[in-house]
Amino acid sequence: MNDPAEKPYCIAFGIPTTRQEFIRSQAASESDYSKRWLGGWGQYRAQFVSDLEIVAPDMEHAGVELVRGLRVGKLSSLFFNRRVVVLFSHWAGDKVEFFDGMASVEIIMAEIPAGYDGVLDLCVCHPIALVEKLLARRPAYLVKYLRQEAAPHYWLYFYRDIFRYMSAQNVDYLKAFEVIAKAHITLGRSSEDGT
Amino acid sequence: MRRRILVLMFICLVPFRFSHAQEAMRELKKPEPPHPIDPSPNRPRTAAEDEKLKCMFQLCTLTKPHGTGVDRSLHLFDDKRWSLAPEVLTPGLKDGKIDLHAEPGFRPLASSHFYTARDAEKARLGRLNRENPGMQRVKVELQLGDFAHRYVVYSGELGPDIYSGNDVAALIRTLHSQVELESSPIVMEFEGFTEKEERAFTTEFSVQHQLIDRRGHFNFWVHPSFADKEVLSDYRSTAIVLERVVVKRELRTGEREPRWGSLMQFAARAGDLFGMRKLWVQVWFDRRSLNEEFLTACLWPWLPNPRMAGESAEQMVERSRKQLKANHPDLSDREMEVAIRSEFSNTGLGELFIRKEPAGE
Repeated sequence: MNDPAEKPYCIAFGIPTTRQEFIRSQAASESDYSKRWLGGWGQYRAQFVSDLEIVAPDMEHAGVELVRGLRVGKLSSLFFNRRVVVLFSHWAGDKVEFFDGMASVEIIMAEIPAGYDGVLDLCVCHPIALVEKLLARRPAYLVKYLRQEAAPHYWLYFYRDIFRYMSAQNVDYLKAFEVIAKAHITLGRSSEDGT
Repeated sequence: MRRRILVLMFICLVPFRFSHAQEAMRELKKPEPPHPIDPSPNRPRTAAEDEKLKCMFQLCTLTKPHGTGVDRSLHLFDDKRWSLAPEVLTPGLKDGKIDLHAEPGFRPLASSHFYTARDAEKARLGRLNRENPGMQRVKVELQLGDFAHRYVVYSGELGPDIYSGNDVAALIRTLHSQVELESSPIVMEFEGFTEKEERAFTTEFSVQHQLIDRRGHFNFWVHPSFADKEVLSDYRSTAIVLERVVVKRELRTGEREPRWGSLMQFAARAGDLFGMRKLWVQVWFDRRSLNEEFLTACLWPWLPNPRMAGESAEQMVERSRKQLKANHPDLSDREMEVAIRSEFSNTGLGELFIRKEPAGE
């Protein structure tokens, strides 16, 4: 892994982002997400990985480190000198999926440095149990999360725009999130009005 | 009797069918007339363009055209039209020694295009040095600010920077002016780029599908505009990077105007190919401006995309929606709209703002 301080933002993928990872994940007993894709790699690639390939170069230019194949033991290293860390993964049972298997809430919490004061964005479907425990600690960092199942391909584009806006306008994550969300809503309304 | 009749019928019919097939073959072999090229980037390629594309780097049976390749127009880098005449420098094997020489034609690529011995590279560089005693080496260094990229070009000696700024087109122009002024090639090497950026650069530049095939079988080079995404992924995972570019100007015998070329050295940096494979690819243009444009486009992935610089949030979002729609054509506008709103309302964003600004403030 590159020097974690190299880029100010990070999106770390616990779910597969390459064919090799996908195949490995399907064969691993401790993984869940890839097995849900009944159409196999072809379907997964069309529905998710192809979108990642589109947004990845822009994200990297905007100062986002894309960490693929995230292992739970590497989670703590992501927070060093980072303003935003996005954990892009899958929730099953009461665990989050990583490249090396499922990790419990306790294990994940132990990996998040207490002194971190940036943003932890959990792009994980309804990780409420984890969020509740994190917030109970009254952390210095902000936690963004999803209450229900997420559509990961949409989020790739959202993140691309959010980080690009942050980079271009030198604003914080929340401001960029707000601006991009409002832009989507405005554009959606205007297209509805147009039709 | 019945069988005899059948045999006779077969004998009568077969030559007829064969002659039809021969006619069809003749039709196929007829050269296609030249045609104007539709500039839209997503149009399907014609058979002639397919052939030209194959000829760019490989598998080619066409003879080399006269001149400097202006008749080999291809659409590269989105909607730009380039005139390319690539030459592949092929190390041949003579008496057990590697003899490097430029192949001006379009001979089929084989694994021999990849140097398997470091001596071969040394020989190539030695020859370049001998032929161009005034050749200079410059470093192109990427300096990362908080959010802005800056490129500094220097010669490695004490003295002013040749270029400093974030306009890669100006950087390339400056180097070309220097080549013109000094009448010697310049070798660009790269510093300060992360492995990912180098890889992105190379991926944008060209793709070789079968590079990871350990058996030594290689397919052909294609430009990423035409490569499918799986090929791009494969290419990225092999960590092929561009190590150096030589910018050259050459006046050939019998020609009035010099031609301009970019000689690029690629190297593998992953797995058991590490340090082993080297590939030189040379592209010639009949005008300086084309070579400048070509190299600028090659450096594109290292830059904050100028097409996207200064975009408003609405423009960013509009682009994302278009890309999303293009990548998921089954998605209706209405479905997309509902999904986007649902995703945003799915966040704890509202709560997040409240936590960020406690009551009373």
